[in-house]
Amino acid sequence: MADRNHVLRGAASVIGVGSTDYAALRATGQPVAPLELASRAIRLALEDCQLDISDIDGLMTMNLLWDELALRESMQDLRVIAEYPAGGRWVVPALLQATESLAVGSADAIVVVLALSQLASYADSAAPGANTAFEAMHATGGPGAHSALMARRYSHEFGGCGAALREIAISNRSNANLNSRAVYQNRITADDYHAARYIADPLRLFDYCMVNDGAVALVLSRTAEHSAGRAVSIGGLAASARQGTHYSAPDFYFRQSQDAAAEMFAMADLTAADIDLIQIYDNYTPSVLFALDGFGFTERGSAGRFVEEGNITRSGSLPLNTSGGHTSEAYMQGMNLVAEAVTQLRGEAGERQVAGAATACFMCVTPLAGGCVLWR
Amino acid sequence: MTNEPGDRPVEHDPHPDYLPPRKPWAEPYWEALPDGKLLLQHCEQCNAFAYPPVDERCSVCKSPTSWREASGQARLWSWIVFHHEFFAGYPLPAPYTVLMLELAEGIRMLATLAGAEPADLACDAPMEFLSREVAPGVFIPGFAPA
Repeated sequence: MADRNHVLRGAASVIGVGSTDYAALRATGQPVAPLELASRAIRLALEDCQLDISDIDGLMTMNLLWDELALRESMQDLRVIAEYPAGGRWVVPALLQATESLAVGSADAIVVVLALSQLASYADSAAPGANTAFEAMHATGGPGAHSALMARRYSHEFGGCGAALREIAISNRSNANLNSRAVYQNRITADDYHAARYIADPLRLFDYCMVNDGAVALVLSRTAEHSAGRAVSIGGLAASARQGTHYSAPDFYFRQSQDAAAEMFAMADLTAADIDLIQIYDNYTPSVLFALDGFGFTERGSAGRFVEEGNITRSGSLPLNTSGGHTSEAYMQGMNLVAEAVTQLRGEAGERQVAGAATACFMCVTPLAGGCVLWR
Repeated sequence: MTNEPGDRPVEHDPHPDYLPPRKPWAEPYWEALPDGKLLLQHCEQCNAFAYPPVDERCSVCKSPTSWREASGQARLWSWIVFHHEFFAGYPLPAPYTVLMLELAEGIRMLATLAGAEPADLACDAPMEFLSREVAPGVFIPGFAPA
C-alpha cells in the first residue's frame, strides 16, 4: 500500500494543456483528420508551457498511431513511447505510466494526446468479440446498454436514481453554458430532459455522451523542475481492473473503484473530504453515481441523494464536470475532464471558476477503474 | 412470432448478420435452441458454467468442458427497453426489451424478453427460459416471467 512518502506523490506535474475548440469544429461540419487534430492540440499545449517540440522526449497516444504522429510533428529522440487504444479507462493508466517514467528519469517531458475524428477508424469498445457477438443478437452490447441496465438495478437496490441522473444532465449543461468551447451550450430544464426521447429506457437522450471531433494534449514533467508558475501536480493516482463477461457489473464496479481509491488517496495522503471539485468520466450519467459511491465520496448507495441535494452543481459542496462533461462539452474520453481540472486548479476557468479550488479528482469507473488526484 | 413450425418459407437466411459467427465448437448450443433447450458449457472439474460458449477450456481451472442442459431457471437482474434501432435488418422492431439474468447455474446472461411485456417485469423476479424464433428458422435465447 502506498503511503504519504510514496515516490510518486506529487512527483509529476501537468505543465501544459492544449484543447481544440469543439464548438467551432462542430460548426464547420467539416471532419478533420485525427493527426491534424492532435497536431493542433500539441501545439497549443507546448505554447501553454513555453516548450519546443524538441524538448519532448516522451509520447503517449490514444486513438492515434504514435509513429505517424511522431513523423508528422518531427518528434525525434523519443525515449518513452506508449500507444493506448482509447482514452476513458486508459487515461489513468497512461498518466500513471507517464508519472513513473518521469519519476525515474526515463523521460523529462511527456506529451499525452488523444484525438477523435469522424475520419478515423478507431474501434468502438463494442467491437465484435466472442461476447459482444452474442450480445449483438439481442441488438445490444454497447456500454450504453449496460449502463442503462445498471441504472435500473441501482434504483432497485438503493432507491430511484432517475431524478439524480436528470440533475447531472442539467448541471452539465449549465456548466457548458459558461464554456465557449462546449458543443452544447444551451441550458436544459427538467421538462426538456423528460421530453427527450428514450434511447434505452430508463436512460434518455441527455443521459448519453455525444460523439464529436477534437483533441486534447497534456504535457507532463517533473514537479521539482516546474514547481513555480502554473504547474498542477499529480498527487496520487491508481487503477484497478476486474474484467467480467459483460460491460455491466453486479456491484457497479464498486470493488475495483474502492481498490483504486484506497491506493490513490493513500498516495496523495488525502481523503475524499479534502477534494474541492471532481471530474467524472460521464459516458452516461449513471457512471457519476457509481464513481461517487465507489471512490467513497458518498456512502454506498447514497450518491443519488447526494446529487439530488445539489452538491454537484457549480455552487454546491463538490462541483462536478465544471466544463460540461461528456454530455455537454465534448466526448474527449476523459481527457477534456483532466484538462478542465488543471484549468480550474490554475484559477483560469473564467466565469465557471470554482472559487478557491486547490484539489481536484478525476475518476473513470468501468471494468477498469481509475482515479487521479491533482493539486496546485 | 406467428409462423408455425413446418410452415416456414422455403427461402430464408439461416444465418443472418445479427447472429454470432457460427463456430464448430458452439454448434450444440445452436442446435438445441429450436428444441427450446438452453445448453451451457460445464466444467466437470470445478463445476463452473460458461456463457457465451468459449472455444477454450474452463476459464476458472483450464479443464475441458462438456455441454449440459441448463435448468432454465433464472432471476431477473435488470432490463432495458430499446427505443432506438441500432441495427438495420434486426427482425424485432423498437421498442424491444433486453434482459440481464442471473442463471440458477451461477452465471449472468443477456437474453431477449419472450412472451411477455415490459410491464410484467420486476427486478429479482423468477424467470424461465423460452427460445424465441425472431425470424423463420432463426432462434435466439429468451426468458419469460416464471
